[in-house]
Amino acid sequence: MISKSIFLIFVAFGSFSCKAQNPIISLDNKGQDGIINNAYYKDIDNDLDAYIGTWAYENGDSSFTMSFLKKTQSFNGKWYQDLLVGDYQYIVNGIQVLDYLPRLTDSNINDGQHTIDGNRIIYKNFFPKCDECDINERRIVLYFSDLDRNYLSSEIAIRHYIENGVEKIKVWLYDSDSAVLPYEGAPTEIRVPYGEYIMTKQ
Amino acid sequence: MATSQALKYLAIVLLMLCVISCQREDDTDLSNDTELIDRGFKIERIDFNALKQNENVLSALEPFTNKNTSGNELSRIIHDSVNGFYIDTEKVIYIEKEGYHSYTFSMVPYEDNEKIENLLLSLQADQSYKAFILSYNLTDEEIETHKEGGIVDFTEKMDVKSLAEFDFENMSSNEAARECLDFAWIQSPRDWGFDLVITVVDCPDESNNEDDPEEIDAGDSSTGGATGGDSQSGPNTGNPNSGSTGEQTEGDPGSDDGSSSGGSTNGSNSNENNGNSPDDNEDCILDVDGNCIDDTSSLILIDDGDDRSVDEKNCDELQKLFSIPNYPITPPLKSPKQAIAHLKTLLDQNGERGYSLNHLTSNLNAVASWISNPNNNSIRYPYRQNTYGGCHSHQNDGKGDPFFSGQDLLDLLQFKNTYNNGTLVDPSLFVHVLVSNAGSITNENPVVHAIKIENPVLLQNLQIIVDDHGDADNDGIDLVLDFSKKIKQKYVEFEDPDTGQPNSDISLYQKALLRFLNDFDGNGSKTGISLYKANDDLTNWSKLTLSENNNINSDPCSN
Repeated sequence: MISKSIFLIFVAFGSFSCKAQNPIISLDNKGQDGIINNAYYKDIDNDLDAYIGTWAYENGDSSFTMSFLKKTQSFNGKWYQDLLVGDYQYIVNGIQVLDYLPRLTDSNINDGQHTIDGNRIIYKNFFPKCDECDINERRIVLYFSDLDRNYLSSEIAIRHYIENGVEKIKVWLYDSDSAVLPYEGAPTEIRVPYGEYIMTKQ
Repeated sequence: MATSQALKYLAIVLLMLCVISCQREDDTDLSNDTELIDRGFKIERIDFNALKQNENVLSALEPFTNKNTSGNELSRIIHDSVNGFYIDTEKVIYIEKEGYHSYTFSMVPYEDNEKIENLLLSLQADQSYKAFILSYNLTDEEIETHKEGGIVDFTEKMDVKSLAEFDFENMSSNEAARECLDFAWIQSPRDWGFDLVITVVDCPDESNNEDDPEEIDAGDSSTGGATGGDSQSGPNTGNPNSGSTGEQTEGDPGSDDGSSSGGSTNGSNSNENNGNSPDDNEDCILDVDGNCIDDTSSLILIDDGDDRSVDEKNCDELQKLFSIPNYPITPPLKSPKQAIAHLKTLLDQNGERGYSLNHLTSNLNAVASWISNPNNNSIRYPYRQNTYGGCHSHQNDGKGDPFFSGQDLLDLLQFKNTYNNGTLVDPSLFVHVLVSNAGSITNENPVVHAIKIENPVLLQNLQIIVDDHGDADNDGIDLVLDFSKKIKQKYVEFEDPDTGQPNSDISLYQKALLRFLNDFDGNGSKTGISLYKANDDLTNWSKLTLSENNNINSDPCSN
């Protein structure tokens, strides 16, 4: 009797789980048919996996370092999705400007509080255009936040490639949306300069 | 004894003949309100700045403020999104007599509401403020009579609720926050109108009928002669539901002969305002004769003399953008129309271009100021308290969409919050204009759209999103990003999957945005924002809406 009850509970739970993440759609097709409630936008082709880890740009005493984790089945209240989340550190002339890297493994920081997150897949001719990309090569676009200037919206597009056996990513960092500055003289850019960075896997 | 004191505090005298029509700000001369003055009251309209001088009032209003408002500054408009109204702290009647004073505010419902509601903050002996919601159900004729200074009998027209706590969010559901009141109109001792005396009646909050010393009920009213509530038998006792619902209703005030109301209610009714019977009560504010000064208010009408609908106001303000200024504009400033026309010529450049729409501080003339945006792809509107809106372009460089982004929508709220330090005029003032190409790489088909505030209460709800940058509320969702992603996701559907280029059919974006404006979270939540499109020669605007069959209706502002 007890085992039958347990079985029924598992069946019910399994049914609920299936229903809660249905249908499963490739990240690449996200948006093509509109967003479907409770759908699971899955990284079927494992596009996100290549970016997991720590990447660094160095220029003398200055550096820009990012670390990424992959989150699976993250729920945003409407749909499930696989995500890259990350945080970063920026040092100029040996002086640390900001360091959000500890947030990546901080158990008090939830998925929505990382300074980098996203999963949008773009191609060669999408903004920002990638002259060196193959026509079908996929890049990832992620939201990028400076928490002290969170009124500014920024994004990064990242391209993974291997050069001379070394894993690298190219990063396009750009402002992505309008803003009303919150006070007189408020900075109009985040602290990490907009531009392109080549980062090497650490 | 405690009950007696409570009854004294709950006696409200509304000096109705001396009411003030809140019409246009400059045509109400309160100093001529001789009747009130005769009774020893000083009555005046005060503005928000004067209100801000009283820290206790600010403290009393604090719970009404949007807790998510940036800077925690008390806004001139205080919203209650749950109940769908806002308190206009610019429409304040200040009444003072000796050590007593009160503030009466206009509660403006956003949705059509036949009732007129005022919020009364009345000073108590302990220097705190007691709050009452005064609801009036007046006919148009009565409103007109009132405006013209005539006498209106409010006997059957009024409902009073006492708020034990300033908790508007729970007001609709938390009956315990209300005290149970009964009211009766009595003829003023002078033949100039009616006073309203409010008494506590039996509350239905307990199933037993035991006399709880903590409960204020009619059975406690042993002093001051006959009391209101269940025992009140006079013709004007008003609330037949006392002891049954606990919620003050309009009820049946009985006959409105305007005479007695069951006698003296608490020793502080208006019949004793002649000062011959000093009150022996230290817990109320006494006048020089030793009588309690009752909680006193005056009616404020919502009507501000402007009969235009929200859409008409929005259209009028939009049309102003296209009007030829009758004042000189010194370059590099432009008129709003010149600025929009200029942006139409810049769509082939990289990066967004834009102007902020400002009122000159010297004369409030509307001008457009170019925003230098050399290093950014996206426009950055400077912080200026005279900025009532902005216009910018979305280049067709493949970076963005040819339509309003999530942040563009939130910018409208930011304009409203920033303008004049958040002390609002009419919400129809604010505007965000977007100039974009309808999917074409060239400038062949520039289109101009604008968003306006259709419902300021709903728009204010978006403040929760604005304040959740970095998931400030720690619920796992950064609402700003979530908001932006959701509208972006709608646009992505239309992109060329190979190039990411926008679709040339602008109506796709219009429909997507309109759907989003009407339901931004999938749960039917509206943004309070409406969408307009300009004609090609920048002479007229049309409001765009979605029809039931998902077509776009275009309603011109000017036919």
